[in-house]
Amino acid sequence: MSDEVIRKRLLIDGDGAGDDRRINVLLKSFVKWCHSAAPEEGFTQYQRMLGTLAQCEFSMGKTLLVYDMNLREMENYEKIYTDIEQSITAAHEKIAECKKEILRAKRIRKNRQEYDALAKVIQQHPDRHETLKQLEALDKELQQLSRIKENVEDKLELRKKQFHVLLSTIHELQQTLENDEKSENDESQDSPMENGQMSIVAFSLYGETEETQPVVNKQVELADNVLRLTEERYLPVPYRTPGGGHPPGPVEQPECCVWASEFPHFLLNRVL
Amino acid sequence: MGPVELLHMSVFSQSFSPCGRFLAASNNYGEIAVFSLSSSLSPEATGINQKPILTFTAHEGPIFALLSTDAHLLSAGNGEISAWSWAELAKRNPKAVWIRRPQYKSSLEIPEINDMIVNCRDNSLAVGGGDNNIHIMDLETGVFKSVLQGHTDYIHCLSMREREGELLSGGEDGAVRIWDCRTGQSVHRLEVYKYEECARPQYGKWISCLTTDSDWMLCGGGPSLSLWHLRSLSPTSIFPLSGCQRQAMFYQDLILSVGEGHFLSHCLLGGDVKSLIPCSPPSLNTVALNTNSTEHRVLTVGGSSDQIDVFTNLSYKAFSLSF
Repeated sequence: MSDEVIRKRLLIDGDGAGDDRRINVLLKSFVKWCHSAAPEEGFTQYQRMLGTLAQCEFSMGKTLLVYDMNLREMENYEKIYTDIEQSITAAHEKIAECKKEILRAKRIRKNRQEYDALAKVIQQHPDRHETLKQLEALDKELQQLSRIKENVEDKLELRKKQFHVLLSTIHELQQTLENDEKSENDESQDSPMENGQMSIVAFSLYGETEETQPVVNKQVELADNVLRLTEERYLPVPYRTPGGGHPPGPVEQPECCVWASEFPHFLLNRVL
Repeated sequence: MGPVELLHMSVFSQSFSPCGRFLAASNNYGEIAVFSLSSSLSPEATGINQKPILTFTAHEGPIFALLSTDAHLLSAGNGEISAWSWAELAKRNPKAVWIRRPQYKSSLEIPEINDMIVNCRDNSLAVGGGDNNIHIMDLETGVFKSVLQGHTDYIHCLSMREREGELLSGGEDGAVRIWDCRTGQSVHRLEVYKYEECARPQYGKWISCLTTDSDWMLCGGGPSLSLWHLRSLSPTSIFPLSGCQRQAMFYQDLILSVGEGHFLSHCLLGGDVKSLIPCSPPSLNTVALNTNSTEHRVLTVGGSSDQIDVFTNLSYKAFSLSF
């Protein structure tokens, strides 16, 4: 216990200077004053003692004020300490928030970049509206062409049928002419060749009409020859053309044979 | 391990433990080294903490693939797959839990295993390698269930498309095949080298790196590293990286890729190369990110050197672990 007191006293004022010395001097001077005899000396000593006492009181007042100040300073520091702690925790929370934000922002950036990458690929493909328009135009063209094709096919069919009709009538005519010839002169010296030739020619004409142009041309020539032969044989002489072997024009022929003479022209001009 | 062996060492693959505190790395001598991340990342780490806590010879030949499941480390070397328990490895006790070998057709030559991947849906392991086939093994029973045939040359890499349950495989024949895991049939076949914008005929047509996040796929190797949209099977971005890429991964909004060249490339999805971070090995083979632990979130790269670089911040190398 006394150690504590001694330690404290040494800490406060170890060197013996200042307040401690003043109190000791005051005590000594008080004791001396009590023992002094002379009154004037006593009075001065008394004044001096009062002075030192005042000094001691002043110094004590000072230390009390300093003590108060220290206490208040401590409180201030405590307050600042708690403030700083709060701001630290707030900053920690903000950091965590910002980290979450940054993760979110990175995800958004990733999504945007993925979108951009896909958009780049899509841009390389042509516009949908344009492609649709092109498709529509192509559709129309296709329909038109198919219509034309149908028309042409119908025409071809018609011509085939007409051709067929003509050929069958030619054949019938040939038959009737042969029969007539046979009935007229049974013993005539008609070369079987010509008849055979005619029938062969008729048969070839009777054949396929879908053959190519040069073949049909040949057939036309053959039909031509057939008609010429029939004309030479069966038509009256004054109606022969001045040109000799040429097929007659449509205007100069008698009506009964108009269609027959028109046959090669019909083929050349209208069918082909 | 003498200095000459250290000079010729290549780190081929890495794997983090399920707790995230250990890293296992494998090299071309058939050894696996286990490093403790908590001691090497601690503030008082010294040189001794950058050495492995355990190094053991796991296989006779080089180990090209390492994989961690919930409790085991699987390593593939010399045509067989071994499993080691992580708990035992942490206690410095290397003892194989099981060793299995897929059925190979030819018994003369043992084909190497280049990549392994786990299919979480049906708890199976897909293994692809030198015999042009992918063998599927059931992890519970250890039986090899099926073989996916179709590649005409050896398989380099495998990847799993979680959402659709499809397996992607890339090989030396330049084809990326997408397999349906349930039927075992090849659903698509992408020949990357046939696309003009990706192809680099001076390097070849082989695909050595493949990764996917269900909608998008990264593939590279001989052809340039390219980002593909899987739904439309069309390439969207080509990355102008010189050298052939050996491994790539998606990370947040970036693409990290390593390959020939001593740097780790950061690329954006649009096709720009954001940055090239230099590393110590002259050529990199593997990159791995520790997602199993929050306080040891590091990125490690390894390649043709005995040093494994550790990145705590993605922008620069922090320190190196050595074998």
